[in-house]
Amino acid sequence: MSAASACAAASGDLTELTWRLLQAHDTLAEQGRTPDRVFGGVSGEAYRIHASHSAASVAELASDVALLAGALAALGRALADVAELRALADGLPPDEAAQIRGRADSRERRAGADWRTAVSVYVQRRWPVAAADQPVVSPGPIRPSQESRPAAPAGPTSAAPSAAAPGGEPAPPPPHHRRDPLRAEIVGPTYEAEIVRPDP
Amino acid sequence: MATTLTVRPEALLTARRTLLRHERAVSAVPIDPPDTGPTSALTREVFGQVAEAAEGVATDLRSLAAGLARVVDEVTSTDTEVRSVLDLLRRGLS
Repeated sequence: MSAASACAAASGDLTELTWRLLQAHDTLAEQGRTPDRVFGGVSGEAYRIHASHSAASVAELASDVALLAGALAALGRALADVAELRALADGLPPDEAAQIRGRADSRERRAGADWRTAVSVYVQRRWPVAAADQPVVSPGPIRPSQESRPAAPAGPTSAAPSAAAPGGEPAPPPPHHRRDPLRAEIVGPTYEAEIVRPDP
Repeated sequence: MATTLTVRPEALLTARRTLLRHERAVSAVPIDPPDTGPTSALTREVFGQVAEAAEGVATDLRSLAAGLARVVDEVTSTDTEVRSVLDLLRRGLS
């Protein structure tokens, strides 16, 4: 399995985890509102508080994992573009090949820097105090690209990376299959942290 | 009279089963770090953190399910005691 495919697969797993966390969140939030009569005369206050707190922390984790999944999908697309560029270079005269390989190297470096940034953001969101002591590995946040951003279907809440289609739906073909690798190099990596719930 | 005071912990048991189902669903997701070239070490590290966080959620869900099991035990035993007292009273009155 190529690095690009491995990234896409792992991004799909993180997306799946996001959905399952969101489903757990919904259950916890609902159980946080369990009326006392259900508890058969025993107070359910402690349980409700625990369930509500858990729902909040699970929602945060789902959002953070979605960010990672989106960034990893972007890394996978970038690595696929890099592989295409290098394959393209193989058939070109030496001068042109060197130029294309240089672009591929540059794209790979930028993709790696963007992935490091996403990881840094994840760590900062999970452990804000601890993260203050860590060096920022790459300047600037990853910004979503309007060009590659999918239209969010109408529906309730939140976000999931577009890298995988949950609920058994077949995932759309990776963007690098539709893009010119040279153009992709110029546009640069993108990621989507938009969470879109699957239809119930 | 005893029938009307008997608790019905089915809702709590259903809630417990739902929590355990979510716990299994979260735990079942593979969290294997991919090869990301020069950033592979970083990727392994963050995937380890994600796996740890997911395990924390699973543990919490199990903890809540165990809490519900204790509540069910409590309401059931209380209900049994109440029914015993009511039976005694009924026998005394008859």
